[in-house]
Amino acid sequence: MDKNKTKEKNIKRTLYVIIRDAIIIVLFASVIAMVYNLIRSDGLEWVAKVPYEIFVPCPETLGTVEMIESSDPRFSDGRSLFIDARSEEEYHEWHYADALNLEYDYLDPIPEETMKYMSQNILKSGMARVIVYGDGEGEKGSSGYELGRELSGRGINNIYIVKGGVAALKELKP
Amino acid sequence: MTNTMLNEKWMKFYGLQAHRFIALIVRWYLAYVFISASIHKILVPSDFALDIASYQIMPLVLINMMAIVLPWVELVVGIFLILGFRSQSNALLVSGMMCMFMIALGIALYGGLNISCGCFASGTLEASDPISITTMFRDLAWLLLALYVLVFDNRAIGVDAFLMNRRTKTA
Repeated sequence: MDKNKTKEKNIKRTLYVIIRDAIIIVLFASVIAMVYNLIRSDGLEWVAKVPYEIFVPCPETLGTVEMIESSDPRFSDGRSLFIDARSEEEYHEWHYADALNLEYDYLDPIPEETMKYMSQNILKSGMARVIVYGDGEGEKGSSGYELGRELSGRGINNIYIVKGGVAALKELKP
Repeated sequence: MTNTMLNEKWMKFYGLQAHRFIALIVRWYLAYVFISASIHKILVPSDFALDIASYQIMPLVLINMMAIVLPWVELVVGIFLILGFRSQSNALLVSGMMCMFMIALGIALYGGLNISCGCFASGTLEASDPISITTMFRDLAWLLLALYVLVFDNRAIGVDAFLMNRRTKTA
């Protein structure tokens, strides 16, 4: 019985020493870290004042889109809902016909409420397709193309991207 | 098999001399892993801070502190593991860090984040290893190795053994 008690005591003592030493090691390393950070010219601030700008490419469901020329007959058959992917300012400056404005954000996905609003609008309008345009030529990476892919990936079908972007539309309907 | 027999077998296994030598190799391997992981983080703490931030788990107030302190803990632990100084305490710290990394990885993987692990040389996703189940298993393997040292390396070859011998002689 005594032997067991001594054994138990020894184990407890060993665990105590292990944990105590681990804490001392962490404290020792922390002191070195703090001193080194203080003396180096490019040391970090202890507390970041501005949130880190992280760009985390989440595995969003991106759908497929088709390109459409501004001269395409489907363009003017009255069965297309237009979406302007540019900023609100640019939209107010000039936008195509009755286009809706949905500014594409390269960092944040489209909010759920906006998606619901868009889906309802598309359903109510009875349009056959959605035509998206934005900055650039409508190529990969341009706001229109990326917005189109996101809308498509989130369940909206028949998305088309204007080839030539807003410039092509301005030529068509200045 | 009775409990006593099991106990005896365990004690026999626990007391094997081979553990000291196996643990020495394991310790050196873990030391290599931790020292190599710490160097870039110490040299470029801003990169490491960005890596921590990209996990989106830590509050902003703790990110920089962690980026400053953690690499040094890794380095000191690595050096002490090589020297065989307080091996079990260092193994405990390695186990703790591994558990912490695995929890962070698990949360990031569950959240579908496609980010750099930040385990070694930090930086962009293209330049380093992105998090995956493989990263998780790798950390689990290191955790098991650290636990081996924690449990079996009670007479670590190195400074610990030297100090123990001196204490015995003095006594």
